[in-house]
Amino acid sequence: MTARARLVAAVSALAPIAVALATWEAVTRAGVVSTQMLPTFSSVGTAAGDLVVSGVLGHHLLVSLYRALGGLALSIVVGVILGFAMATRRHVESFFDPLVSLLYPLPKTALVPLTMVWLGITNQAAILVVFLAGLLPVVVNTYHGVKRVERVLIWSARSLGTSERRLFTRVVLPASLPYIWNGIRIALPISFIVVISVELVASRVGIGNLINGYGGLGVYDYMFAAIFLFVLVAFVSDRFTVRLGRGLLRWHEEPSGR
Amino acid sequence: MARIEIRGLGKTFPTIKGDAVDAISDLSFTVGDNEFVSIVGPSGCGKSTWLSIVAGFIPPTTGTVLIDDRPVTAPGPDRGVVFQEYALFPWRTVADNIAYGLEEKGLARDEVRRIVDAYVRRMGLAGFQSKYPRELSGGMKQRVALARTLAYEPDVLLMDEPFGALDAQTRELQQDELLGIWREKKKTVLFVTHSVEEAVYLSERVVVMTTRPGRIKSVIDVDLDRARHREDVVTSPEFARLRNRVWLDVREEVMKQYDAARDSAR
Amino acid sequence: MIRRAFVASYSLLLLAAAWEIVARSGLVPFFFLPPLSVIAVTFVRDLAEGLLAQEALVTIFRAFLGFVIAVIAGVLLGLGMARSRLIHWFFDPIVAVGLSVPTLTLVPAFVLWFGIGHESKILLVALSCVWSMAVSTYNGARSVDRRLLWSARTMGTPEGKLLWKIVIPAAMPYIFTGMQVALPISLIVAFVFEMAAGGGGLGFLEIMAARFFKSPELFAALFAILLVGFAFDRMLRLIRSRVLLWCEE
Repeated sequence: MTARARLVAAVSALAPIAVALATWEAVTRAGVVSTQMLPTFSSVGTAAGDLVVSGVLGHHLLVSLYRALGGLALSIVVGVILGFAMATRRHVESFFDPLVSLLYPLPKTALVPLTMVWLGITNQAAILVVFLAGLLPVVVNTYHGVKRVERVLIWSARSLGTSERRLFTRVVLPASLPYIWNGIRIALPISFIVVISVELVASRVGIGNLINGYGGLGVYDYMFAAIFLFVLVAFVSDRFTVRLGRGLLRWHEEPSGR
Repeated sequence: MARIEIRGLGKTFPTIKGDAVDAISDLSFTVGDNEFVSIVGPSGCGKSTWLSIVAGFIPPTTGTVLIDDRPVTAPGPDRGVVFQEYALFPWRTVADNIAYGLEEKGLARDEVRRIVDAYVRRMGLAGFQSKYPRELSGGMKQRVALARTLAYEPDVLLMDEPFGALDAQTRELQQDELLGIWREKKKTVLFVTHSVEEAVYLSERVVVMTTRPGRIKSVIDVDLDRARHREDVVTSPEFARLRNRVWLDVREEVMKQYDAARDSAR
Repeated sequence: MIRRAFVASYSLLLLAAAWEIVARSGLVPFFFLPPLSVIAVTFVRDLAEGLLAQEALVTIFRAFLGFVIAVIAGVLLGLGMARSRLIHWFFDPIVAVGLSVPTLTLVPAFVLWFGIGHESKILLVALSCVWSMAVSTYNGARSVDRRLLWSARTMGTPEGKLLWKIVIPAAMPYIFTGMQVALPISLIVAFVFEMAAGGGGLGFLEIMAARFFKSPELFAALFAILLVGFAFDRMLRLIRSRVLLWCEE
C-alpha cells in the first residue's frame, strides 16, 4: 500500500470514532446529557492530559502492567512446560486431564476473593490470579500443538543429528509455536481483564483502583479520563500483539480444509 | 558409501483390537558399497517399515541391521532420509533448512554458509535462499529436502517415495538429478517406490516384496547401459524386458491382496 | 464403567484426599484452607436454606438477560455490517475497540449511570458480549456461498426472505461459536461487577465471605459458580448440537 493510501485508510478508520467523540462533546455541552452523568469530552481530555503529565497514570499503569504481564509470563512458562509434558507423557496427561476439565468452566476471576484471603491486597495475590487464569488456555493450546507436530519432522531432525535432549528446542517448540501463540493470544486479554477485576475489588494501587477511586470521590472527569487512557493502552497493546504474531509466524501455512 | 546388512529382520505391530500384525518377516539382504537398490511391492507390504528400521526410527522385533558391521540402534547422521512429504522445517528458510544438519554437526558459521551456498547452486535453488517452504512449489521443496540431506554427507541415503508427490515432468527431472548426484557423491542408496519404471530406471538391483507379512519375493539385477540419454534408456528393449519382469512379480502379489480382500468380504 | 471413571479421575480423588488431610492436620490455619468436608456441609446447608440458590439465580438472571440482549443486538449489527458498506465502515473501528478492551473497566461508570441494581449489570454484560456476537455473525453472513444466494434469487425468493431462509441458517455455526465465546464472558462480567460494586448475586456473596474470612462460605460460593459455569457450557453445547444437526462438524 502506498503511503497516501495508508493515510487515507487510517483517517477512514478513525473517522467513526471522531464522529462519536464529537457527538459526545456536543451532547454534553448542550446539556442534553447532564455533566454530572457524563463530563464533557474536553474536560475529560484535560484531565487525561494532567494524569499523563503528572505521572499518576504512569505510576498506576506500571503496577497494573507488572501484575498482568508478570502473571502472563508465568502462565506461559508453566503452561508450555505442562502442555508439553501432557502431550508427551501418558501418565502426566492422565493425571492432569481431569483437573483441566474440571477447572475449565470456572471463571478464574472467581478466585480473586480466595487469593485475597490467602495473600491479602498485594501484587502477589494479583499475579497469582492472573497466572491461574492464563494457565489453562496456554496448556490446552500447547498440548494440541505438540500433539500435532508431524512425526516426519521429528524423524528428520533425528536423522540430521539432533539429540533427544535438543529435540524440544530445535523442533517441537518451533513446530508448535502457532498453537502456543494462539494460547498466548487468548491469555493476554484474560490477564488484563483479571487485573482490572482484582483492582476493582481488592487493591490499593493500579489502574482499576484509580478508576474506582475517582468514581468513589465523585471526580468524574478524572474517572473517565483514566478509563479512556486505559482503553487506549489496551487497544494499542492488542494491535501490537497482532502485529507481533504476524511477524513471528510469517512462515506458517494455514492447513487447508474446514 | 557404506554397506547395509539386514539379517532376519522382522517387525510386529500391535493392533487396536489387541492382537498383533506382522508387517515384515524374516528379511535378509545386503546392499553393497555405493549400490543403488530399489524396493517395490504392493501397498502395505512393509517397504516403508523396512526403511524406517534401517533409519533407526523404529526398533525391529527380530533381527538386526548393520551399517559397515555396526548395529543400528537409533537415527544418526550416517544415514540420510528423504520423505515423500518433504518434512522441511516450515519455520526455517531454504538456506536454514539446508544448514540444519551442518549446525548439528557443530561446524563453524562460515563453513556452514559455504556448504549451503554450494548446494543452493547445485540444486538450482539460487534466489530462493530466504524463502520459506510455504512459498515453494513441490519440486523445489523436494530439492531442498534432498539438499538438506546431502549437505552433511551421510554415507547412506534412505529414500521413501521421495518423488511420489511430484508431477510427471518434475519427477523425471528429479530422477536424473538424483542419478547424477549418486554417481558424483558415491552414496549407498536404498530407494522405496511404488513405480516399477522408476525402480528399474534408477537402480542396479530391484527387490520385490510379497504382500503382508512382507518377505523378499525376488531380487532382479538391472544392468542397463545408463551412459545413454534418458529417452534411449527408457525405450530400449532391455528396459521393457526388465520392467515387465519386475511388474509381473509385483502384480502377482497385488492379485493376492485383491483375492484376500474378496475372500474376507464374503 | 464406574471403575473406569474412577481410574480416569484418580488425580482428583487424590487431591481431594490430600486436601482433607492437610486441612485437618493443623498445618494450615482454618481460614486458609477449610477441610473439604466442612465446605461440603456448608454448601449443602446454604443450598438448603435457599441462600445459594437465590443469589445464584440473581447472577444467572443478570448474565443471561445481558447475554440475550447482546445476541440480538450483535446479530443485528453483524448482519447490518455484512449488508451495508456504510454500516461496516462506521462500526468496524468501534467493534475493534470493543473486542480488544476489558469492558469491566467501565464498572465505576456504570455504577454512576445505572446504580448497583440489576440494570447496570445486565447492560454491562450486554456491552461486553455484543462485539463477539457482531463479529461472528458478520463472518457467518459473509461466508454464505454467493451461489446459494444467486440460486435462491433466480428461483424468485424476495430479498427479505433471503435473509431469513438462507443467510441466517448459513451463519448459524458462526453465531454459535460467537455464543460459546460470549456466554462465559457474560458470567464473568456479571460476577465481577457484583464483587466490585455489590448489589446481591454470587459474586457479592463470595467477596463478603472473603472480607469476613468465612472461608467455607467462600468455597461454597466458588463451587456454586463452578456449577453455574458448567451448566451454562453444557446447555449451550446441547442446544448447538440440536440446532446444528445438519452441520458437518
